[in-house]
Amino acid sequence: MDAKLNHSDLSSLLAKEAGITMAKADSFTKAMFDLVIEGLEQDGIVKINGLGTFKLTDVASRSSVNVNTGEKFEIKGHKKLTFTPADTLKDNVNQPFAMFEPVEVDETYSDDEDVSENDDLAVEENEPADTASQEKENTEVEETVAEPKEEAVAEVEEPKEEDATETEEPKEEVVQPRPAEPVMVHVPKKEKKAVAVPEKKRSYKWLYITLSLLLVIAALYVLHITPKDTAAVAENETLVVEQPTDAVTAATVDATSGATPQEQELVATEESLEVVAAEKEEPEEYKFVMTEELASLDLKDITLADTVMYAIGGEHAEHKVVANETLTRIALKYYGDKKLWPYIVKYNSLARPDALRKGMTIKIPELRPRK
Amino acid sequence: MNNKEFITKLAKKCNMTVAEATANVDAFVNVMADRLKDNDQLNISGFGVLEVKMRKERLSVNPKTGQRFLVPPKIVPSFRPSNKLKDKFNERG
Repeated sequence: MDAKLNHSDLSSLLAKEAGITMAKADSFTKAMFDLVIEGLEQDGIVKINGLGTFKLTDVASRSSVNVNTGEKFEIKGHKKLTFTPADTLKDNVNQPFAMFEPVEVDETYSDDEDVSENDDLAVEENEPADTASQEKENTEVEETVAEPKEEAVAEVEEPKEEDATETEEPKEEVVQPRPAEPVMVHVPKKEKKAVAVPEKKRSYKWLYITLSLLLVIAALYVLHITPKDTAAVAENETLVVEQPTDAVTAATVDATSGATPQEQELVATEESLEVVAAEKEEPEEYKFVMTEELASLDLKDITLADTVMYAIGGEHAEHKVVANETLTRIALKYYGDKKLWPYIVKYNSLARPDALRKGMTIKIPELRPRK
Repeated sequence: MNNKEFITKLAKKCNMTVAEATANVDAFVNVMADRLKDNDQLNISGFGVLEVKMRKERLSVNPKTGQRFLVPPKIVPSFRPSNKLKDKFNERG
């Protein structure tokens, strides 16, 4: 593995393989390489079965430019020695990757698949925190009816509330459209995540980004701004009392049965207030989140070494395959990187990567980074 | 010079029969292939270096049809002639 072998190492290996003396093997290999050179001088081409073809090709003279001085000069025509490996040698060497074949991809595929992967992770990280924060929110707001960002009911409510806020404070209307849009986006996302169509990954990338940003903002909001909020609620209450507009209350009663108009009103104003607060926070948060994401991206790039950078060093563990498990999933589990699955294939000498069956026991190799 | 000529000349040079030379060449080729398979580098002084290189996966486009293919990664054998050998062929022009 990764050793540098010289002439005498090769000779001794040949001596073992062919059952001849070391001296004989040495002179034989020397003669062989000398003969290759001789043959090249003579014919310009030497073919050796099982190894490949050595060939001399002419390179025509061409003009070039000195990069330092900008001066033009001529590169003289010369001969170049090329080596074309024989098919058997090529196949032999390429065995670890032999099961791969070119795959046709559609236009949505691009090299930055990793990025969307990270976004995926980001969303998942945020989600538990978000649900927790939502619970909090629910308890703090005196009502259970309106969790504004999730429910379809809330969506129905919203336009009417907008009306209400419009009559009260025209400023807030400017703010409103923005949060309304992510709400719409949110719903389709939840459904599609379960389906997870891979080709559309790219288009969801931005969705994930905006979503994760929103979630982070919501979480931060709940953590930092709720103390303020209670004060704001007090303020609002007085506001609401002052403005008993009949049209608005009628509208809200229509929208949601069960809650009293007063409370509805309260939620409406509160919500808009939340929005204002969130909106104020946003520019800063936005930057912060972006840099964080970028940082994690960079880290990922560093740790995600290419597959060729590892050497297999003994067995690490045994793994029993369960239903619906794939090699990538196993690789992800043991190495934290799904790209490393070919090593598992190689170590187990599986004929094909899809030969994985439920109940099979496979060996997980230990991987050491190569220098 | 094809394989046959090569082996006949080699046999003459080493004073062995053609059959012997064939067997030895085959054995040596096998040895080299095995070493290359293990990612070893074969330095042959005065001749060059035989080694394997990793080619990363890439996207290729068929210019005629516009189809895009993801070409898988592969390992290829490669040869770098030594400077001595390069100079030798260029002395004569």
